[in-house]
Amino acid sequence: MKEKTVTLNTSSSDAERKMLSDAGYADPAIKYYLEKKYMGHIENADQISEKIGSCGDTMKVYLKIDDNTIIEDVRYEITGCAGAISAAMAAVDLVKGKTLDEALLINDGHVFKALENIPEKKHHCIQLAVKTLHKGIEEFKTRQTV
Amino acid sequence: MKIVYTDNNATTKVADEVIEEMLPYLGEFYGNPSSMHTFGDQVGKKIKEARQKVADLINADPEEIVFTSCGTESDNSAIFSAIHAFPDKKHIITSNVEHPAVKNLFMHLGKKQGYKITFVPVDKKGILDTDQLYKRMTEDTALVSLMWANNETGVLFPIEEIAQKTREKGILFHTDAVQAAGKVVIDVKKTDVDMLSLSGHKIHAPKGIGVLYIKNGLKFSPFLIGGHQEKGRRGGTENTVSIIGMGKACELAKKNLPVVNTAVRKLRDYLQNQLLEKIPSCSVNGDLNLRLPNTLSIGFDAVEGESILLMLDRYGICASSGSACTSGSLDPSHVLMAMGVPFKSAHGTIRFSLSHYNTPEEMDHIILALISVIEKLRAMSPFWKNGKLI
Ligand SMILES: Cc1ncc(COP(=O)(O)O)c(C=O)c1O
Repeated sequence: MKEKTVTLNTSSSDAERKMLSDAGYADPAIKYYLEKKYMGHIENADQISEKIGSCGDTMKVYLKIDDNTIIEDVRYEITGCAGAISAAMAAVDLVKGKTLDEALLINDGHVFKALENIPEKKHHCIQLAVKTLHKGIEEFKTRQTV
Repeated sequence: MKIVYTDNNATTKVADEVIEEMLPYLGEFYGNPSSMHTFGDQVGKKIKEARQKVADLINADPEEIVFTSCGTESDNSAIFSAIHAFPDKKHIITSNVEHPAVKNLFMHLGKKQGYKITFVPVDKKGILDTDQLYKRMTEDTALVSLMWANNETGVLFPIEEIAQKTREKGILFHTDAVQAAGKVVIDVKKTDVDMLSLSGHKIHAPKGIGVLYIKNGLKFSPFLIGGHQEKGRRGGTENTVSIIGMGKACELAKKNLPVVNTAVRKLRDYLQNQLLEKIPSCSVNGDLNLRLPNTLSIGFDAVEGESILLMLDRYGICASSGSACTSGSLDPSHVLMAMGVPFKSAHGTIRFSLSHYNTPEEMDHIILALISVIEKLRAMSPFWKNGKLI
């Protein structure tokens, strides 16, 4: 009521971690969300594709592809929640260094396993992460064949 | 970490004065107000006092006040009573931005009990289309139920004018004033409503206590049929402690009403103007004038609301969001959709709702935190490039 000083320096990911954990995110999912290690874009990407999810969350995927076959690097730009972000980051770890065809075999179940758990109402976020990635790969392949 | 609480439309801190007033009745004075003995009767007297204080907040007579278990029960009781009063009338009217306590009951009555429902629309500022409303009122209309103030945007409906029109046509009128109480003047002698709902936890009383105002002389069918409590209008031994707390909270709400309309409004306006000035591509949802003094609903383009809330949580800031991710469904808030707020803005909407416990320093804390949070989120957004929306 009377406390006047509020320092801005209180930013703490502990609070966020606890909130996510209480909401049903497992530790690996929380780690992916907090680190956001594949967030951003790739300057001279070989493929850029975008997809809007059923909830309105939107993802743009940047692919760097070696020798037209191996996924060398992936980045995502995302307007979305912790579910969307953690799912996309986990998906990248699953496909980096794989061939395009191997990457197409990655499904929602694999990503869910990598996250260990996220709240049920966020399961569609995994779908969006995988679909965006697959869309990028498919579009890249189509461009190679024409 | 210090908590900066700006989620008062969700619930409020129980005032220290309220707790103090309640404690003896949780411990020492546990009597039943209906008992013959003095021990119980002293609780009865205290409840009478509380009823008077609630009545005073809305300029009602104490006999017109019925205590319930929450705002939702008050809404449900009013609506069921109205349709029981006119069993032959099969049409009821509400708006498309009501709280679920009204909206979902209307949907239920439409689906399961064959009622014809009119959901009157609002415009892009959240203002009710009263022409539509008046056009839709017919001989067959049993009830009009409209909220006084919207919980998400704070937009106010012209309850006084609507009350006159419904009176002229002989249609019952209920208003959900849960968000209006303590923020705008409510005078049922001037605003001729038949029934009006209040909820304790929005005005610094505990959760789980509500009030239904029932105009003198109105035929009322109880929702909970049981003992003679509340003059037969609501069965069940009184929630004495919370009723006593509600009385105190209403007394304080009356006293603080000018503060909410000056100091709190000033804080809200300061927060709003600073955010509009310092953060590009954001806009306020709802009419800027016909609005509660404590509420700010603001949409940030190219970001998502739940991720804003998560990051604000790091700074100890509590607010709420209208995004689809937060609602847990695939759709953003029905209120923002009804107003036609563009999806990209609705998806990044945050509601700040203040109280007289907030300070200017807290507003500065929110402004600085939000500038940084929005910048971080936009840096990873596909819709944002070089400081601009794409
Ligand atoms: C406008 C409105 N009506 C009704 C309610 C329900 O009140 P309660 O939580 O006491 O049932 C709320 C609170 O969430 C509200 O904001």
